[in-house]
Amino acid sequence: MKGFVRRRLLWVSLLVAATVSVASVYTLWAGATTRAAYLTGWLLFGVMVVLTGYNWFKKIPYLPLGRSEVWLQFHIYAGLFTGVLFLLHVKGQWPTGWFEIVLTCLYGVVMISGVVGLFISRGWPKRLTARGGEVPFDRIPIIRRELRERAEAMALAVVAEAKSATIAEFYARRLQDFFAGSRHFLSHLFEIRQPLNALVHEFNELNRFLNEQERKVADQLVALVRQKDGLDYQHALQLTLRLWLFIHIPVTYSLMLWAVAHIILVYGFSAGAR
Amino acid sequence: MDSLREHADVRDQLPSPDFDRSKYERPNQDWECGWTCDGCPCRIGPSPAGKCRATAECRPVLEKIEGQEKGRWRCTRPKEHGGPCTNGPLPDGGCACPVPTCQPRHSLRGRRGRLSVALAAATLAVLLIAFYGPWRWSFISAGPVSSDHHGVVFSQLRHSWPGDDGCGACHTAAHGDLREWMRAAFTAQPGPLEPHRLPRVTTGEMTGIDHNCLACHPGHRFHQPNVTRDHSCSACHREHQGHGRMPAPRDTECLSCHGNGSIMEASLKKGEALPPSAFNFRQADGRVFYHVPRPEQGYTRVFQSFAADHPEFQIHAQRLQDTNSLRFNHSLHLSELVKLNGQALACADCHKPDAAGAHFQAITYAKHCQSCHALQFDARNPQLRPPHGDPGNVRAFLRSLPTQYADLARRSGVTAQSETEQFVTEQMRHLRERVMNGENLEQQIFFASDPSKQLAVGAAAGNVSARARFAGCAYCHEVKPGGADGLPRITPVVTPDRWLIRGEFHHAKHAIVACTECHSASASRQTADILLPTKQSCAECHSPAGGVSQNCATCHSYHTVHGPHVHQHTAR
Repeated sequence: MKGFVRRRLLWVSLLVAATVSVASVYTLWAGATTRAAYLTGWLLFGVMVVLTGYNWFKKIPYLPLGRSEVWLQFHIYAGLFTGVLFLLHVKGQWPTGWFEIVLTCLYGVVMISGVVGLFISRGWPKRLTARGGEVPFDRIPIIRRELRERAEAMALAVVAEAKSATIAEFYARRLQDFFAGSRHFLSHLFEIRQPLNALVHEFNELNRFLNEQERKVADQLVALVRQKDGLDYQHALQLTLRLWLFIHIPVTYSLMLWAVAHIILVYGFSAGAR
Repeated sequence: MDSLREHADVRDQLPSPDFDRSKYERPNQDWECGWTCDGCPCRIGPSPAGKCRATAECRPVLEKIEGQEKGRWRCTRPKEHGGPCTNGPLPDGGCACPVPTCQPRHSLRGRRGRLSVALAAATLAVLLIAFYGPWRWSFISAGPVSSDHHGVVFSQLRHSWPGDDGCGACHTAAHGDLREWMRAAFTAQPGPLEPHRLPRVTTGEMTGIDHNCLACHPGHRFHQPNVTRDHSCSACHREHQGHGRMPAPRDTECLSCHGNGSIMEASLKKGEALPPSAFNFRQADGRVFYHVPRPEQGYTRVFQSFAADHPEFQIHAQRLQDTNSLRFNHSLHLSELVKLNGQALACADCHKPDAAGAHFQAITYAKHCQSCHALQFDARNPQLRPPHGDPGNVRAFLRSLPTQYADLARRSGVTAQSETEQFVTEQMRHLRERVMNGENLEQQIFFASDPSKQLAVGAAAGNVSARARFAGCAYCHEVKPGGADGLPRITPVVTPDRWLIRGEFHHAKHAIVACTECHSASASRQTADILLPTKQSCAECHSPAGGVSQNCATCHSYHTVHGPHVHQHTAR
């Protein structure tokens, strides 16, 4: 924990130092050159290229590029630093041209998705640990199938043993769909337990119609329902941990293409052009 | 049922489900088994190209025992997948448990990669369509162009390209398509591959696009002649900032020279080498300017802001005086001694704003003085007044006094010739009794200046204005003998329309402030007093403390037309 705090302090200090340095240098530039926006633009583009490269560094682990953990920290704080550069570059003004409005929106989407992703990446694992039942994301379908098969087997077996089809009917009516796939995605994201409570309540309602043997099976089914609900919770949160990248990474490439076009237009049409 | 709790406890921590941790589902691969979502992916998995490779659960091996010829096929299904199957291999050695084939699907990572490629391709397509489409100019424009550079006429300029909305007038790149844009980008100075040169590009340095400005705005002589180098047009005039007029230049642009000691030093040296006449470039355009001698060092003092260290106005710095020959006492006119319609005079009684409200109409005798200062020289006939203006006309009037009296008699209703002659004879006799002869009368009218000896004194009540104080021309004017034909020389009255010719001022915008808060007219007794406020007076409001704008462009315009300045808008 001490090491974590120290690392965070180090990175925050670096971010503050970089911000103060760039803001100071920009103030000098703005008075001495008409191309201050060019300088901030190139700096911003350079940092964005490095940030985009983070996704590629991870794909070539055999190159001695340092630990991925360090790169992630760099990615986060350099990403926040681009916010400073961006504001300096646009002088805090909303653009008026369509091309630049789109460019600003793309940057905004990448920045916001990154911040949301950071928030999710920091917060979701704690929630997953607190809830328990942790499981690799890719194993979830297999475990779900196992739970379903066990539940189905119990529901079928009890028909012959207890000579009653109450549980089997309840399974077919209420539990079959529940075990078939991931359920209650949004409820799990927002920590809403109502769907699980409703199901457990239905078991309680069913209880008075069950004989002793069936009640034992019902107990076991409720335990499986709880496990399945926990699995759905894992699925919902772990999927979200991956889904934000579906916005962040693809839009980053669009942003980079748009930025390259922006550079061509600026140099082709702006002050230095002949 | 005691074992079932009605509500799940949020703080319940579930145990991890049992699963084989040794297995790894290869999430970094682009494809995954189509049965994964059913929870039963095959152990082989799809090929890197996304083809299903499933055949059977194992590949049986033939085991032969010594002495036996046929041998026996043995199931090789791994233990983690259930171990050897119950039925065993087929007699021909084939596996008895074939794996149903699937349609492999992209893994999450693979789908993300495909989405990235698709979005990048879509972005590229949108850019190309936008760059080659008919609306490309409005798409790539950095913002609406100002009204100065917009419109049909502007789009027909010689530099424009058909359909380019006039972009080509300023942007050479707009003469072509994307290839031309690229070429223009890579020939820019400094180019996109030379970002290291950017810090050396100084403020105000002329650029390629500035030379295009000069195509329509020829020459660069619109500031002081001692400017050491041409200043970039686009540095001050920022286009694409919205409709309407361009925004005013920023102070940083002015201070890039006026706040820079070395540039001001160079300007000073250049100015010293120029003849004084080089600085007399302002076009009067019918207006009368108050001529302020150029300071010894020119306008090269280094300063940073108006409120802090902007030089004092030259009128006050050099203690200049109004050289107008008219004798006028503001203090007297604003005192209780002088009244109009029973009320004390106010500034606005004489100083009437012009149509724009920026300045004031010129003061004239007929409009502003005559009502009080009528030229009544004959107390008996106050209606009879010599003309104001040319001394020759005054002399002609005086030498035709019998005729003037006769006219006056006719205007008074006397129609009989004898009565008219009698009236004229009578008036001339009275005049002679007072002034002896015509020469004396002319001398008095031209040269008398003592208000206590008014020419119209003794006029009959009701026939003379209460303020008929015509003492003689010299009471107000500078009258000297020695003119042509023995006429006196009256020094022409020159009242400047503009006093601070290097700055703009709009009186209507300052109507909230009383005149006397800026102009100390009540204390001025001499015409020589120039009643302009000092810089300090302006800075009371135009300063950070005052809260009113103190930008350079609030008062100054960089451009001063040297001679006729015609836009050279040449059609294609």
